Amino acid sequence: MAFFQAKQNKPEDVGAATARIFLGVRLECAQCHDHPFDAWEREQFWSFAAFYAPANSRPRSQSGVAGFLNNLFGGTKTPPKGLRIPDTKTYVTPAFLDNGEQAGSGDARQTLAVWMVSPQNPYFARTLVNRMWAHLFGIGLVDPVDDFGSSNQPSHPQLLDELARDFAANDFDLKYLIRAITASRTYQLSSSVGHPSQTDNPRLFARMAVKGLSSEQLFDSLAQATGYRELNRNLSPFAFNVGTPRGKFLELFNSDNDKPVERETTILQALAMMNGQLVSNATHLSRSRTLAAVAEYPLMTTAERIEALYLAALSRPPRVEESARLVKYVESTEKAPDRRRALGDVFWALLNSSEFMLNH
Amino acid sequence: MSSKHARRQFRTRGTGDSRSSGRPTGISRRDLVRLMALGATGASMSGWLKTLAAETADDPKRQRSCILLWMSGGPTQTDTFDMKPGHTNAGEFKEIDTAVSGIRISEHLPKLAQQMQHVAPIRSMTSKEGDHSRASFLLRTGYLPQGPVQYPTLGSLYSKELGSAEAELPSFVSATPYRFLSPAAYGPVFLGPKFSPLVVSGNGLVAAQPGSDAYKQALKVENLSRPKDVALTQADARLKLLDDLERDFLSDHPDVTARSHRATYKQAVRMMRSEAKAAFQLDSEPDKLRDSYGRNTFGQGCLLARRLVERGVPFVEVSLNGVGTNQGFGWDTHANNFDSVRQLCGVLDPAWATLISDLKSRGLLDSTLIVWMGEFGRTPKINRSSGRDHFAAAWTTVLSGGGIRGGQVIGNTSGSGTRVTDRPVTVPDFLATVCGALGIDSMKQNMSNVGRPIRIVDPESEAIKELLL
Repeated sequence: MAFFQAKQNKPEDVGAATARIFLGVRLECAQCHDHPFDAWEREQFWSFAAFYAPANSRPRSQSGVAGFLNNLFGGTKTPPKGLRIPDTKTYVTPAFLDNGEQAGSGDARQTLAVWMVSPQNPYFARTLVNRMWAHLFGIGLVDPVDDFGSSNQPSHPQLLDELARDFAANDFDLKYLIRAITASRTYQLSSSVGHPSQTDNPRLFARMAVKGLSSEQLFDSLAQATGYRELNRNLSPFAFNVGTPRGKFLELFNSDNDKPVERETTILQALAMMNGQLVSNATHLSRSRTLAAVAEYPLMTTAERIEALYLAALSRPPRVEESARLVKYVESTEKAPDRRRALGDVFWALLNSSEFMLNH
Repeated sequence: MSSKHARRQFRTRGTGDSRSSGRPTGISRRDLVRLMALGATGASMSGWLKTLAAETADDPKRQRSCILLWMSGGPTQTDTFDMKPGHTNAGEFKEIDTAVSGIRISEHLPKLAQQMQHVAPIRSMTSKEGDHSRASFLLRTGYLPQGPVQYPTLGSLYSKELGSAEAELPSFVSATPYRFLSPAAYGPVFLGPKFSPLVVSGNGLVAAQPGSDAYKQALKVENLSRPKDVALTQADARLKLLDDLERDFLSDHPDVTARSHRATYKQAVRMMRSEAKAAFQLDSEPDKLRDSYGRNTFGQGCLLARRLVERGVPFVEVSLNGVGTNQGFGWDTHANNFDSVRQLCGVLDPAWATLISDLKSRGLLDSTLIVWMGEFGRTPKINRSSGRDHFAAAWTTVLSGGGIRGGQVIGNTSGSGTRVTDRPVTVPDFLATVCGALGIDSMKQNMSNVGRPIRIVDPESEAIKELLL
């Protein structure tokens, strides 16, 4: 319902968004003119939008909420007379995008829904497969994911076709799709360069791309590494976590750019990580649970303490040369408090590193 | 090296930079920036600053800057710059004379009236967008929201054209933006985070309340200083540890994401340690000057804008979101228009007028364009709540400062103020004029997120020629 509301219940807006989300087809250009570099014609756009046209025969009395609900769920009992293309005298009735066939009589939206998931629809399976691929790899086989077209070819067309075929054949089972992709060698490749041919072009999938984390993922990683806890004192469902450290953090790290393989760090984000309260507390002896535990537990060597910090932040032990470098740094001071502070510095560097802040 | 060769080199440099011959110190702004980056200038910034201002002012090739005064909510034209004395739509306010004979504006903008020779109201703005969200998007990006296409905000677009990659400060600073209803119109989108605003107090909910000292907190860059309990040597040691980690990680993960992370950290540290960050220390200004800007978020925001422009920042945006309890769409005066506008003008007038005179006294006015606008105007007709509603058919924006011929009025509206009667100016026309004044090619294209090039201003636009120098 929010979807219809966001699209102001206009057939053209709902139709365009439906095509983009479920079919991976951007029709918007064709709203006003034939698409400049794809095959879509203006009439096709409006014929598709006509699936969402209101029925002319609906009683006038059904305005307001009742009318709105009926419009959404009750469907249209009689076929709509059609939708007029603005500034023309042409009326169009619902027609499918693939072959221009008319929808026939009956509930227009139900007809559309049935066609959507039918094997005859050439778009739906490919779009969903591609979206799942993008979710798992940070970039789609077709990219952007909602722009399939002659001018935007998939990077690996046969792979996309085969995945789509299998996905449809398995009754559009998302679990099946996820298992298939994640069991592949491609998905299981490391992000580390092992061969000079594994360039930084993420569309080759020659190794896993280094991707940005969502702001929620980053915050939760930080909370987990540092032992941060935040009580939820806010009872309003619409103001969840607003103004709390978590809320502020999420706002700051929320990215305009929805492509994780191209995520870039902003200055304010860097400043918040370097100097902000959250990381300052986490790297301050008396205010950090993780650091205090690691620094003050009596029976550990410096190397073991550093390993504990690595495990907390990066989920891996340090490499031999890293450990040597950092042990030397910590033990370059004599007094116990200075050494503890030096461990805080190591933790600070780990939390600010690309390895911590990015998905690799 | 032979002395002849050396002399030729010297002469070549001299010819190429002949403007600098009259300058006493012979240090260029770029040299100064480099020195500051090396930490060579130490604490005695005050002595350098005069040189800096003089240098920036003298240089005819000096990059232009833009200060956008954003009037959140849509300011009334009938009570400010396009008054209708004698008509039933006139309302309570009187007109006054200005420094330019023939131009009359509201009695609540008396200080600005004295600067009218630098100011040019455009009374014939016209658009079709009367909704806050869509209209803000249009004014702030130059385009209407359209499906999946993203459009960068003006600050990102212009700072990309005017800024320099080596600058210590970001090229786009935004003071107290109120992004609530049109968040998509405040970011760089496909231009990338290099052109995202350095936001000074992001929530925008600090009202420009005269007398309150909320402004002291509101105009700080968050986390710009290292934590108090971390000494400089310790901070250096930390950065060295981090650099080791980054170098290792990048050696086998040469991805855009990791490269950007490292580059941004370097830029952030450069800013933290720069002298230029002193721009944010408003305390170093004389009390008298601070008073005349107005001791409120907007007034001090304008002072900050001057300090940033002085240090070469090409785009600064200062938002006037409201006074008193109305924090957000302060100019959205559906009720009690006259009380609200009187208060808003009480904040706007001294800040704007002082900004003009302050820039002028530092030789910066000729190269700094000050844009005053909101998302639309308000109905000339007064509603039953003594308010004015959204109105986009005939309204006013104002250009002032550098790059334009001030002291003139563009366009005209009918006696009731409801129609444009002379020289209609569309939003793209207006923005093309802004580009003209800033020396930006408005027809230049950027590649958008949908793989389609988008011009800085809609090509269906024409700059207001008589306004440009």
